[in-house]
Amino acid sequence: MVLAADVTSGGSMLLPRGTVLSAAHIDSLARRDVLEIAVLARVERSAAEIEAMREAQERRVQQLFRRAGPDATMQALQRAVLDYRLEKLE
Amino acid sequence: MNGITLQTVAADLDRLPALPEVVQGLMDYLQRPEVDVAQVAHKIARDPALAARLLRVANSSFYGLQGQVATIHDALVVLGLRAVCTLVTGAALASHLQTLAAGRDQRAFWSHSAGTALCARALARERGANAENAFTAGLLHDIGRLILAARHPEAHHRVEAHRALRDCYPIEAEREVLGFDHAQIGSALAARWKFPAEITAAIAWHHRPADQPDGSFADLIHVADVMAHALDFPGGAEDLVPRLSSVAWNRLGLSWKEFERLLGEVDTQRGDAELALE
Repeated sequence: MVLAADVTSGGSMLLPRGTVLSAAHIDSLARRDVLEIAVLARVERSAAEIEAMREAQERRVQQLFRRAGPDATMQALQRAVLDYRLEKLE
Repeated sequence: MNGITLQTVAADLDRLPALPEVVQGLMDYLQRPEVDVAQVAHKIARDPALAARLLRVANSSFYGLQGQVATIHDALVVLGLRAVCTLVTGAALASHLQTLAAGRDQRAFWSHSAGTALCARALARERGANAENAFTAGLLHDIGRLILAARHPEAHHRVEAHRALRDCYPIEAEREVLGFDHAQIGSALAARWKFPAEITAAIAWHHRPADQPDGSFADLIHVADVMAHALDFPGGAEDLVPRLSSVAWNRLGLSWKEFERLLGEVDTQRGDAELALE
């Protein structure tokens, strides 16, 4: 589990957002009477949702590069940006 | 008739409030080959607002050290002397410039500036360049645009209207409407405020890096600017990724895979980009 938000107590930072929680972390938080924490949850998406997100990213990249023209460097850049955005969805 | 010239815009810069002394001092200090922790801590401590801002930003995930930094001394030890100077000067410069354009919606401007600063720092680390100057240069690369909007709003509106009508790059709209561009205005301001040469060159040439010699910061800030737009700093329907100079790209010597990795690195820091500049 990964913390989705900083855990603080009495104005002090106990654990920063992004911490991968171990059993020791959880024991430690319990000893400090921390009753609630926010953790990142994996969202299961349907194939249709993933496809819709891919299409949205493709449209956005196309929009950002709408004035790029046929320049080879810009085309390579556009591919890299789209590859990055699509990989992020996986 | 556009009403203003680069000369009148440059002359008006003399009427802007001077850069705070502590900022100017820290910027100068950062250019020295060796810097002293006690001296820097003393300079920062003279300005409590600056010290508070340092601690707030140092503890945000913008710097990846949430909660570890409690004092100026901690910040200097944990972040490193030069990083602290960069953080403080960047935050103070942003604050000063925000004041100059008070009353205008600056969110998109600072979102893009912070994003470019993050990209510039990531690129500089990758290429072994000065990451502190890269960060500051990224933060300030478009200050000419802010000056135009704040000091010459009527000209700025005409540029915006032209850009919207033609759906062209903002710099093309500036050149077509005004006959000059924000890089020239920013360069004039950087010279008046005596920014370090590397940063001044980046502000002046980030849209024309090929006109600068290899190794210039203009290459780095040019690519950082492109990266920031590609990551939707600031986003919006009208945004465009600027034309990437093949000369600058080849001189930086990055592969596209490395570029994609850097996009991911900066993407994870985006949540706090605006926080750092509030």
